[in-house]
Amino acid sequence: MDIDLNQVSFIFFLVFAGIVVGASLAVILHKNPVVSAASLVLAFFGLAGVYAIMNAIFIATMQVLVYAGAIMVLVIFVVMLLSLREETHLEIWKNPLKQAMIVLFVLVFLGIIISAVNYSSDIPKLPPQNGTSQPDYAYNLGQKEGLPLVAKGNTATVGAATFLEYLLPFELVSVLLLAAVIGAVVIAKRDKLRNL
Amino acid sequence: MNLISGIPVPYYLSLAGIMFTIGMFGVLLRRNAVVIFMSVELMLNAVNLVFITFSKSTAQVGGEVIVFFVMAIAAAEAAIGLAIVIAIHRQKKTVHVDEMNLLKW
Amino acid sequence: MDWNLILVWAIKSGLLFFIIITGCAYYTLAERKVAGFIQDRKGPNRAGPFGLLQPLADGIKFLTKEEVFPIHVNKVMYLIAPAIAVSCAIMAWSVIPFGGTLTLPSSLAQVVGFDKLDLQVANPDTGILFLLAISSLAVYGVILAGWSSNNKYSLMGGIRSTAQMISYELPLGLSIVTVILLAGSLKLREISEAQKGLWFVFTLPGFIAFCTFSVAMFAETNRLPFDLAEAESELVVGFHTEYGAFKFALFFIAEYMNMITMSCVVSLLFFGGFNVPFGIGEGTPYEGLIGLGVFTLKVLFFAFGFMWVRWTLPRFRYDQLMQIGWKKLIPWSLVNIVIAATYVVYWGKYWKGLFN
Repeated sequence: MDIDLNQVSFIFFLVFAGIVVGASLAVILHKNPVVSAASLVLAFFGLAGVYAIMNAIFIATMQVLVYAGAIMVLVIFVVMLLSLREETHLEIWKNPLKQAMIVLFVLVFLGIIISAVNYSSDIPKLPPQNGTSQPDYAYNLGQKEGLPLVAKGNTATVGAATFLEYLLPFELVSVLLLAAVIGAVVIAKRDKLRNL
Repeated sequence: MNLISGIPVPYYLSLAGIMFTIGMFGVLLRRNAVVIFMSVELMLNAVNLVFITFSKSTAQVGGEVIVFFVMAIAAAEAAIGLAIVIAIHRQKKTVHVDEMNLLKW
Repeated sequence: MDWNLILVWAIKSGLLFFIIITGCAYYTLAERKVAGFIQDRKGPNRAGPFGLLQPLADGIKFLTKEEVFPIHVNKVMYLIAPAIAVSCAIMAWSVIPFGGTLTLPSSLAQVVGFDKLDLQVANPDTGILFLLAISSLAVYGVILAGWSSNNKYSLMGGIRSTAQMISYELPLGLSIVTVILLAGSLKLREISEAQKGLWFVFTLPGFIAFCTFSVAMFAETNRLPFDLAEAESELVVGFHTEYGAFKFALFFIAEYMNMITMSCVVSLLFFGGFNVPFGIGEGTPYEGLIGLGVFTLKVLFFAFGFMWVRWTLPRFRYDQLMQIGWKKLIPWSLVNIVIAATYVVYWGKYWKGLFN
């Protein structure tokens, strides 16, 4: 008895997509900021699951490591240290006319996006650029002693592309991260002269 | 060929569209600065999903590299944004964006 | 994809889960016995011959104690925090290779349908990054526990513990980058196989990486000498003050399981994993089993090392702890990456296979 992997993938996709949509709704609708932050972590997990279904394992691991493991820890730290209270004075939630208008806008917006996505033409398959990237995750690195040197596997392909084709953006992003670290330390520092 | 792992591409794009919509309405409707920041992160993730979907369906690896960079930039933005929120909280003891009205007439 | 492959995967996962939980329970007994040995007294020896039923007694005690819910705690976060801690501790075991490839005897191979069995539940493309991601997630258990307990000391203990864990993830990750440079792949099985002739700890970059990784490992698992945030006399036990009975048992299990996981990772990354020293027993049909035995011995040695260090060294103060992490370990790890890159390009091929 063989199991059709595509059907199993579809069921997993529905589960993970449900987690993502449910957690995203909880992020924007719940009053307590800590529950919003925890729901966002759950949404990132679901999204990592969707990436894994698409066989983008490196990006799925990076999503958990960077977004759920570092950025959201920072957000939860800030929410807990500042002791942010629940929002109790939101008038929008109380007026039924405004609620109906918001729901109408949401449905119109979603309708536009989903119809545009479903009724567009087929996505063309582009020819490999400069003969470098091929399907099935292999990156051609040239030749070594007459045999073609190929980086196989998801991580190796993304790594080869980052360090060979996209080296300049990589270095610029590292300079940007350095600037961000220095900026964050300077902005959040307390003044030494005040006594706290 | 419009399938990635047996699931048609418009399904992934619709999921990204729903996430983007939810994030956009979170930015417009909520009044807490940290929750607005989290909605912006949701929008960035929706865009990441679109990038990876197209990277898979056209068999180019550039989309995944871009997503890697977007994650690094989102981390940098998180650090600076939250530092600003902390600095504002120190002065005004609140992060409600309706109270940041010093530049209003 | 046939049913028997899924069945084999399910049996491997179930068996591994059972072995881990039993191993963790007996690890708690071993800790108390080793503590007694170092302090020149006998450990627990009443609950069975040599105290071997002590974990069972502890388990029964934890399960039958009354579950107390403090008032004004956030119920959902209070209950989720130990679940997250234990889940992350257990999930990390799914990518660790316990041995090479076992070849099944032909009679068994006809029944099952294949003849090579990997002693590993999953071998993803990003093996070692998966372990780093899981250890990043373990931070959530600590911070949610500290915050949801509605207790100033728990909150401070939780925040201190979390800050310590995220600060030491950096030297941990940078040491792992060194190992990846030396091995050439992220998959854990290939990192073990790349150490066939020469373990990475005997190379210069590998040795420095081992030193930084060990220090970071103690800080990640919140063990002495870095356990200021949860020691009994500081901050009233820290983030798990308000947890009793089974919830505390879950945190306890998670901590000990993290320790065994880190011992496994150290022996995989630096000490050759399932490679037998001097290549004894290669080519025999028992190669996989000898590798499994040698791996178990290495893990047990490092687990003993955890306990040995705990009862030998004094505790660090919190600011000393943070200074070590940021000012000493990270520059050393960064310099070590440069050394490793130079080693791989210039000297690596001369030293490969030295001890085989």
